[in-house]
Amino acid sequence: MRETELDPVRLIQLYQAGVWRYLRVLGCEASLADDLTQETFLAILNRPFEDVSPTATSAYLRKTALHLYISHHRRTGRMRTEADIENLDQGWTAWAGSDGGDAALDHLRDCLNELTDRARRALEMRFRDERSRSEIAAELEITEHGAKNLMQRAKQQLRECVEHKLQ
Amino acid sequence: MNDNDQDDPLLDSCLQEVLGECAPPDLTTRIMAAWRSGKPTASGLKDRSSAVPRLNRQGWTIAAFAAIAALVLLGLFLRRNPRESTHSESAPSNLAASNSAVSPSPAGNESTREGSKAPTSDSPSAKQPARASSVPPVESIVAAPVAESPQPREQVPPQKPSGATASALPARKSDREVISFVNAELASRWQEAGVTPAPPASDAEWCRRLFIRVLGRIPDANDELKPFVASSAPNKRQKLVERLLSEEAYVLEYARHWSVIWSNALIGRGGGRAGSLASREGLEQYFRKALVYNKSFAEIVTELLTATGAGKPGSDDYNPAVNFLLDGLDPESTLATSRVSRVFLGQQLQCAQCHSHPSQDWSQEHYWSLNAFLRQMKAEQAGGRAKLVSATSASRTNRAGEIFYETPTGLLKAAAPRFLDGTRPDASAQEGNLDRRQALAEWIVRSEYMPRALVNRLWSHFFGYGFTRAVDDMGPITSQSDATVLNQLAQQFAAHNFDLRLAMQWIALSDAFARSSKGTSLASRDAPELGGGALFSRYYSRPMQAEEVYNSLVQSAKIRKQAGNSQELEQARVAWLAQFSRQLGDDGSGESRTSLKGNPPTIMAHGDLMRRAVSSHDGGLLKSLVQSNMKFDRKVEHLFLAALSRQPTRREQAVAAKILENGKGNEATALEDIWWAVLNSNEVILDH
Repeated sequence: MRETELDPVRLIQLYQAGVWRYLRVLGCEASLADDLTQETFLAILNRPFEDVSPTATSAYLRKTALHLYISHHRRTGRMRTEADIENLDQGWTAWAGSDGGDAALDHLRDCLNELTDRARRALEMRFRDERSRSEIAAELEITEHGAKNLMQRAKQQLRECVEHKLQ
Repeated sequence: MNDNDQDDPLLDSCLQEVLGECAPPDLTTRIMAAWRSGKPTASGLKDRSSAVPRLNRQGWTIAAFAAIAALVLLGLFLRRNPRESTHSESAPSNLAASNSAVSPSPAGNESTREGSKAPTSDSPSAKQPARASSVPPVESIVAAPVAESPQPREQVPPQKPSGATASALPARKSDREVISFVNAELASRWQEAGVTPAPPASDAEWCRRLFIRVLGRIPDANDELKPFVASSAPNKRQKLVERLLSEEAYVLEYARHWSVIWSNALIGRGGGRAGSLASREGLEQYFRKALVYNKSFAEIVTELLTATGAGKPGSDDYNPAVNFLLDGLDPESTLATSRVSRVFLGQQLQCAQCHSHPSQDWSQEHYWSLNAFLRQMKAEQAGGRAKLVSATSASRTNRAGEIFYETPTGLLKAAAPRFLDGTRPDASAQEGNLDRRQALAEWIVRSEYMPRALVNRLWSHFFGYGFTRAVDDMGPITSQSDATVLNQLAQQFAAHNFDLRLAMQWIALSDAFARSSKGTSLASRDAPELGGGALFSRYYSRPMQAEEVYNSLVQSAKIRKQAGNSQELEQARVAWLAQFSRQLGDDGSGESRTSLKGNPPTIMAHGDLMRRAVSSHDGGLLKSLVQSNMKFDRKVEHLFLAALSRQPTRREQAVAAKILENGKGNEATALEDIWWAVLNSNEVILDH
């Protein structure tokens, strides 16, 4: 096996986004994701490491990050069920590939443009403006229940669209 | 935010980045600074980059105990003879393997195994310090470190067990040639071992054991046993074997019996029952049909491995073959891997799931490489019914079909689909187009593993022992003759298109199968029950399986004719068998043999089945005998023939007469007592 000379800076630049996003999928707030991402790379850099392929390295980093995430939650007394974590891990693994999720996010941007204006507007108010459901409903002149359904359908469409593009 | 709208963490986090502009920050400078300084993070997380990890209270406690244990062991060691060796011949490789298991480098593991690639001086492993002490150092007692260097593709050379090189199909031999070859090889083995084979079994003995082995029951005394014994046809044994395997009158019974045997082998006695995704009834139904039409076992293996559809009868898209893979299906298909390797390849690979196989040359890489073929499927549930579907779309991380696993040292590795002989599926096929289960089935059928595994299993069914100690963990065969017989039978089995009935015919008509179970003094060297290898110079008596006992009891007492409908009979059979089956939990080897050996006679003696069998009022054999005009001693003969396939001895007749006398001449009562005693004797449950 050919040994690849390790460049820590390059390693971090290539993979940090994927690790950070993975931790966010698991449920970390941004600041905790920052910390655990740092911890992940510190753990890697302090042991012999061979960057054999993007796929393997990505998986290895995610595994390390997962261990750190679990350890952190044990210390703080908060734990999610194993099934939750496993499902999220598998889901992100399928989306992220070896590019840390860049392609999936590009697809998501494209898929957003395929939504109706109302649906896209609802999601923008939700995720960008952090408006409440009642505010979104009022803005769109629909009921709260209608706003909820609108966003759920839109997200379902986005998921199917992204997964189709990822195939 | 309202949590009800944050119900998809994966998509939500992506939307937050895309719409909320919450993009990943560039932490490069921060990480590099922390790495160089070794400082903890702002959140207070400990920096694990320190070369000397700090122990918490628990860690110190563990370290203290370990140190005390080390001192005690050292003291014991110094008191012993330093030359005394407690290890077997195989210990050095095992010891080396166990030492390498604590080595931080996976390449170090491989350097201890024969034929494996040795680490080069340039590889990371060569730079690792060797850990030879039996007590782990303090550093390894702390909470398990995160996964170490990933080496996703290990260059493991193909491991081929002896005699397993693939070759073109051999020329077909006639049945006579095959049987003659087997007889000659075994005879030379007996001569080598200085063993005089047991005398030939009587016609009655041979007929009884044949029925038990092929149909799972004893022969009917009047309609089957007596005519066979009375016949003077020179080839009557061959004719009887052919009848039981092919004749319309028997083929359903044969198929029903062997569908249970194969289902037990594949999914265990408890598989497909309540709580399982699979339907045991469906799997048995699949086998019944396949066996009735004498489907090639290669075709059966292919269908079982590639099946998709629903498992329960009556479902849309019903395909009974799916029940093999559907039973116990877990997300990593570990149970399926174990079962496929045990039954179709004769290799217990599940031991290598977590570490190298303790006694064979199977590594984790082998296990997970085989497992990778079975990861393109999943179970879907709809309306309470499970369906096996192919997950044909490869995920973006598995374009090469890789799956990931963890070594005992916490190292994360990747394994691509690779067969046990080291070859890979067709390289020209794009991963997205490769049907891995189909590829696996094709390889299994072409390999030499399958015919050897199946022939060994069939031989074990007929003789009680196979050519290897465990039929599903074959390993090397110590006797050359045994290897020759097994290889020849396996080759001819393949050459004859994996014809199960033909293979059974060869075995049943062999000289070894025709030997008595009564050994001679010289044949006592042939005692596999004492741990030695089996020479097959005599027939090995053994208790029947529970199914065989049940079928024989029903047959001999003629209960079936006066029982309820077939469904009631089947329910009664399942309920009766459940008394003996113990579900030990399936670690992939759930093929528990449910024999009556060692079981208390309570169930036999006092169960409902026995009550019906010995009743002279409820119909069946006893009632018809009581009502007949035959003399008492003839009736006793009938009872012995029905249950034991033999005539009573003079002493037994005398005892029967005494029973009648003590009962003041009440024949019905006397016959009930005699019948009860016969049915509860050890001999009735013995295949001899």
